[in-house]
Amino acid sequence: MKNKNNFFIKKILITVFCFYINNATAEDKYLDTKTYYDINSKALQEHIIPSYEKFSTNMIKWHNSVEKLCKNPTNTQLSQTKQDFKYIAMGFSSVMNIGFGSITYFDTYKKIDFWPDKKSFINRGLKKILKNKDRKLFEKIREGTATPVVISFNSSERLLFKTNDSVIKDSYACNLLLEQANYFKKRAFDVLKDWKSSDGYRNIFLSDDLSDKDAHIYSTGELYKASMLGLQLIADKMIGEPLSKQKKRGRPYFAQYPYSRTSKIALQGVYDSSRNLILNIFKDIIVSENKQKNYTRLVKLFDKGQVYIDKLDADIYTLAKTEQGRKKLEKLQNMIMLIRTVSLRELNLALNIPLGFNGLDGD
Amino acid sequence: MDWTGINMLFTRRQIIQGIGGMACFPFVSAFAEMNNVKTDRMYISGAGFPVTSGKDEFFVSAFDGDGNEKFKHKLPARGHGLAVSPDAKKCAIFARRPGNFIYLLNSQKGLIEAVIKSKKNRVLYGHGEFSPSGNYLLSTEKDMETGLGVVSIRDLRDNYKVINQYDNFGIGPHEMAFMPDGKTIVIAVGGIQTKGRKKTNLDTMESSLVYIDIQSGKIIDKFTLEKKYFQLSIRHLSVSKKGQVGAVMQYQNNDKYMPLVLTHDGESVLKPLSTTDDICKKMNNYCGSVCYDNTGTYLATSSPRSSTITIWSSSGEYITSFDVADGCGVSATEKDYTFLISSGIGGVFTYDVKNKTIEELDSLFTIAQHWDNHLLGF
Repeated sequence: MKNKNNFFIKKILITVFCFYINNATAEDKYLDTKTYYDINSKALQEHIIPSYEKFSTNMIKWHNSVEKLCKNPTNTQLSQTKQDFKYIAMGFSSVMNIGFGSITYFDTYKKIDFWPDKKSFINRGLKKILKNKDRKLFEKIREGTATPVVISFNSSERLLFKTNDSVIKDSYACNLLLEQANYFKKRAFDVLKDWKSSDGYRNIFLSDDLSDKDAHIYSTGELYKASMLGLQLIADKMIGEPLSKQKKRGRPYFAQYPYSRTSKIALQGVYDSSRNLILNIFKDIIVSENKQKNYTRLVKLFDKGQVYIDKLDADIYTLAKTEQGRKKLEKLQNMIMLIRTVSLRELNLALNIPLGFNGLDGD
Repeated sequence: MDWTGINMLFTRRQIIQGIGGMACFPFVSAFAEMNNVKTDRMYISGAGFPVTSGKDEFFVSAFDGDGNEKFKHKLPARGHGLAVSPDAKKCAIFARRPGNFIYLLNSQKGLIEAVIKSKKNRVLYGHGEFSPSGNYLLSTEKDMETGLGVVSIRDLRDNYKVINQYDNFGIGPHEMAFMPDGKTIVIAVGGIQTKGRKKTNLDTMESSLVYIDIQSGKIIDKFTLEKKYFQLSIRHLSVSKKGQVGAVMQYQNNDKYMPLVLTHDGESVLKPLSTTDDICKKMNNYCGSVCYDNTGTYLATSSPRSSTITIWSSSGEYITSFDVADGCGVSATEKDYTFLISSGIGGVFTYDVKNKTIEELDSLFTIAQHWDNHLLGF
């Protein structure tokens, strides 16, 4: 009976597929402007703005913690502020895959996200800065013109965790950390404001003028790329860099936030953000055209990915140090690549925006 | 020169097939079927992997019929067309246009045997073939001084030295293949003059299918399209066992949707196969590759810009189409009426024309890579 059922199900699937391929017409492949508009609108309201709100709120929390530390530079508060570094990991991970819009202005994204520091650029730079104690540098931080040596999360982490507690012994070091926190708070607020304001990036992303189809397709394309970027970041940067397949023992210090051990929090944040974009924002368009089963498959894949994340019993830095840990990371990396490919495929077909290797630049 | 290997001992495989080194030609399978043995078919393709932290990485990758990795080597840039020697012991990947390398590999051991560089003032145009004797490697190129298309012939027994070259057939040669006689090559001459990847003669371009006697370099025949199709560029082709040429084109204008597939069996003028406007629109003025199935009955074409694969009969009828996201590489499999299709987004699929079924290879290796333009099975 079971075999009969299997045969029956298989037959239905084949029939559905045959129907699908015989009835696909050129017109089916093009979505109307309103569809793209609706996707972009939903993404703005249900993903982009909530993500930047989360980023901004966490940067405020981080700033408050550092402010407390500088006012009360004790070991107890230092310990608390170190714990509060998680706000950076949580906050930034929610927007890491939205690599477009006003966060890219003044190279903000590139600067704050400077890692891995392969040539110890930040370490060497910070040593000099802490020695010279130049207060003019604070002005550059406020203007956003300083280098990642002082305006990156990596720099804040190093200041807090790797400078022999200088942040409680040396007021310059603590003020530098505070200036950084202030900069992150201010930029997060500015970017959020820009996404909410009708004369900010919001207006570029979601124009109410439906006559310009290309503009709406462009914005959907940005979302599509953002969906993939998050999974790509996890696979080849957050896991790929410390795992380093070229080196047998891995490169643990190339993990994101290696000293605060918050890399797993960040990974989870990027994963959740990608999941929301693909499974929530793009749900309707994937489900349409009899693709409910494809959507269900994606949900199952994301659930499975979460199981692999849950199996990580330490942060990525710690895991990358042992062979057993590296195996767990590699399994997760493979799973993420699978999710990425299947998602990319579903969205490519559903949105009809050629963003693949060959469609973009074939020969 | 001993092109066909007539004076040498033929391998059984070459006798069965009549030739070797034919584009997309599934010669291993025929050998296996006649001897009722399990095939150890292998597929090779260029691949890429986007890296968020830096430049994309490019590879030549091979896998078996189940999608299991056979080998993977890093390339300095994107690879494009592929070729396999008649005994299937060697294979080659040619750099994407305008490129400067050919990687020659031992297909059984999966090792790089040589990296052949293009000559000074020459760029490779992405495709080539082994001669039926297996002693020579041919490649389509461009002479940077004259702008002319060239077919260069390298001797694999003499340090890959260029021993002959022909530049008498036109501008922009792309894919080429041996005809079943083993003496004639057919070249898809795109007709587009380029500077880097920029096209410079779209108003005056003339594309053609050119048949050349490989021994003498003499043009046996040259076929062009009707004038109204002058902006169709013939880029890729496949040759069936019977010697029919299937070719696909790319339209160099955006004013309308054009038919992009043709077959050639000696007709005096080339004419795209007629089809509906809807199918033309579906193909979106761009085809990336083409291949006959094992029997030569069907032709599969890919249109990655619209993620569409189309199937045609050798008699010129449109059969069906289906979606494969960024699907571009197409290859015959050892099974009749069946194709393997690779996706630039990741994943490789088997399509059975008779049953109209598509199935993805259940392999992380094939899913994780972004498969480039062409796929070759042998």
